[in-house]
This record gives sequence, C-alpha cells and structure tokens, in this order.
Amino acid sequence: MFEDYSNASIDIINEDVAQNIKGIISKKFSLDLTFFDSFVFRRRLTIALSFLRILPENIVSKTQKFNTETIDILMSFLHPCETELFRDTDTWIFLRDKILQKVISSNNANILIYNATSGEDLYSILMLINEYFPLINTEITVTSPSQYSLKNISEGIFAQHKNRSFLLNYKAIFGNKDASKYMEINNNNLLFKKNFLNNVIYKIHVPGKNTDTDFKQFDLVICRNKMLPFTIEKSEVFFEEIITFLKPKGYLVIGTNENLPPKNESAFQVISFNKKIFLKKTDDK
Amino acid sequence: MTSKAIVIGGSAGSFKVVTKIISLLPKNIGFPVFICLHRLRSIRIGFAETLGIFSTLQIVEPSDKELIEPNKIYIAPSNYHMYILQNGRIGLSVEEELNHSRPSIDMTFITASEFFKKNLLGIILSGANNDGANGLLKIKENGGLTIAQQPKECEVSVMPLSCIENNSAGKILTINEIIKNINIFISNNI
Repeated sequence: MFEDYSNASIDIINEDVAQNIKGIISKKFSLDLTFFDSFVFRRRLTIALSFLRILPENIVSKTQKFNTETIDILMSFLHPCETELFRDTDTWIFLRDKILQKVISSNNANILIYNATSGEDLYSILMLINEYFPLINTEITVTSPSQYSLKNISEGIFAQHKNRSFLLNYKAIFGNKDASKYMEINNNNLLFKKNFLNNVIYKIHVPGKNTDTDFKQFDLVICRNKMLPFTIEKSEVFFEEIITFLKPKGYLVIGTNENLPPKNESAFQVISFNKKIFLKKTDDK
Repeated sequence: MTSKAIVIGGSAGSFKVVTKIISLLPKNIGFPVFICLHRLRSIRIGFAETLGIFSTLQIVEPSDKELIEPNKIYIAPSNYHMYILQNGRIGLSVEEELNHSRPSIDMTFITASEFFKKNLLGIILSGANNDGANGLLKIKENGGLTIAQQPKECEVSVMPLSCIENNSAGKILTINEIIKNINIFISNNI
C-alpha cells in the first residue's frame, strides 16, 4: 500500500530490499550510493517510492524499471532538504550583521548554495541581500544532483510548508517588515516570487564529481545539513571539493549540529562555533 | 562499545519528570541514556545546560556522527531527528517531521532498538500526541523492556495512552516506580 509508506515511521523498506534496490540503481546508473547511511536511506527511499508510486517489490522482481527521470527524482528525495526559511535564525542574524558586509565588500560577491534539494536557504539569502544590500552586484549559484530539485527551486516551491515557522523566523530577522513582497499564493501553495530568482544560476552537480571547469571560486558557500546522510569518509571528500570552490578568506556555513570532518578542519579558521561559520585560511593546507 | 541503554521520550508535561529521573541516575551508570523531548525550535541553545543542573552525568546535545559513549545523556537537538547508527554513532537528520515532530521519538526509539535489541529500556512519559508509540512497540518486539508513565499521573496523558492502546507498554508505572525499575535495569548485568 502506498499510503502505508507515506508516514514512513515503522513501515519503512527493510534492509535487504533497500540493499537490493541500491544495487540495481548503482549498477544501472553508475551511481555510488554506498555512502548513504542505511536507516536514512531506507526511510528516504520509502518516501521517494511512495511519491513515485512505485512498489519496492516490483523493483526487486524487476517488473518495475527505473528511467533517468525517476532516478533524478529519487536523488532529490535521498538528499536532505532545508526544512524552513531562516532555519536557525541566530545563524542568519550573524550572517547579516557580521559576515555579509565582508562578503560583498568586493562589490561583486559570488555565493554558492551547495547540494540543494530545496530553495529555503537560497530564498533566505536572497531576502537578506535584497533588504540590507540591495545595490550590491551579487551572483548566486545553486548546485544540486537533481534537475527535479533545481526546477522546483527555480519556481519558488518550498520543500515543506512551514508557514508558521517562516513567519516567526522572518520576524526575528526583519521585525515587522511586510513578508508578502517575497511570497505569493498560487493554487493554495505558498511560493517564493520568481522575480527575485531571475539572476540565480542553477547547475547540476553531483557532490564530489567536479567536472565543470567553469566552476568559479566563491566568497561564501552555504552547505547546511547537506552532509548528514553521508559517512564521515564521504563528507571528507565533499568538503575537499568545497575547499577548492572557496576563495581564500571565503566563508563556509554548515548545519548547527554538524562538524567539519577532522581531515578538513585545518583548512579553516572558526568564526563562530555555535553558528558553524568558518573562514577558509589563505593557505589551503 | 556499550552493551545496553535507556531511551526516554516525552512531550508536554514531561520536563519535570525528566529532571527527576536524571537527577537520580548514578554518575557511573556504565551505559548511555538517550532523551528525545518535543521542544521549542526557537530555543536552540541552553537546553542541555539547563538539564545539566539536575544531573551528575554529562549531558550532551550531540553533533552528527558523534561517537556514543557510556555515562553520557544525549538530548535530541532542536529541529533535528536523532537516531542511532549501526556503527555506534549518533546520526542526525532534517527529514520531514514524523507525528508532527522533529525530533521524533519514534525515530530515536526505532533505531535504538535496532542497535541495542533486547538490551534497551524504553520509557514514554507525559505528552500530547502519539509520537513514540510505534517506537516503543519496536523496542518490545526486539525484546527490550518498555514502560509508559501512569496516565493518571501525567500532565498530558495522550502519549502514554497511545502506548497502552497499541500494547507496547510492558509496564504502566508511576514516576517513583519508573525510577525503581531504572535502578534494577542499571544493576542487572547484561
């Protein structure tokens, strides 16, 4: 039953079936999924297949085939989303008051939202810049392993509808400023207005596989909670890549309950441990 | 690696009970304790420190992939699910809410039961929704011990009543009785 999987609490796909599906996908699409933690993979897979209305037993029995489109959606579901606008408001207030001024001092700031599957962090930074630094030329790039994710992000669609937490967070950042200039209602869905997304660059990018020689260096990389489903070893590889994306003295923001892997720590100076904001040292090693 | 553990879940009305329980845990308990409480997202910092006033054990809001150690109390961080990885570390996730909750007690209980199997004591306290009932059932199915706080004693009884309803509560006890059972669990060698 698809409905049974939608809550995905106790009735998640069992370990054997998950491993079987992982093997089928990995083999057919040359995707390395071994680094996804087992329980999270099982739960994410359960929710993704429910959304796609694919029964796991049909994959195992090979009566259900994956195509590139379903794999793309699967990748979107397997990677963590950003849950709400201005999640951890104290981090955003710190960015507003202490970091953004330095980031944009060059008058041509480049910001990267790394490994996004939803738009909340992008929309949050866009609102901050629009309110406090409207005259600065800022270029924001969003990377994602999924075209489906990028399409949703570019259309202003939220991953999880948390209007109440958004309004609380928004007030903490902006006081009583009107939020409606950023939001619109369409078919009963709250959307981030597209006119704020015109200058955003969207790129397909699988973490750890930087094949794009045109990837510029960034003043600020936002990568919050994106490493949660991965092993420490895989996170190290991804952070190595992020280090190459950052300019010397560029800033990195990760999730409030994440840590940099020990191997990558030496590349950074801690700016705020509680808010998990780091500065790339001028010498990488 | 530690061989056994206690997991405690609660929501509305459980804070006082939790402080009483942790204040009576011995310093060298010999295994970890995991606590998953529904809490305000807007108050991210200071919760573990506040609980720390009541306990001689170190209270930690873990980071993702933190190694589980005995004699520590791990509190699920605000706005993250907390689960137990099969490699003996704590995992965090920002997945969808479960039972309208993040952290979800079910997530912590289910993964703890997959790791500790029968060597786990699960306790559900006062709370206003049914989060934790599936998790407590999983602990029971894996051979662990399960307790629900006596509903008459709870400020809000929905959570323990859900555990009674799905037959996951092996015992229904008052706080003083829960503390006695914890002490027996501590002294039993596994």
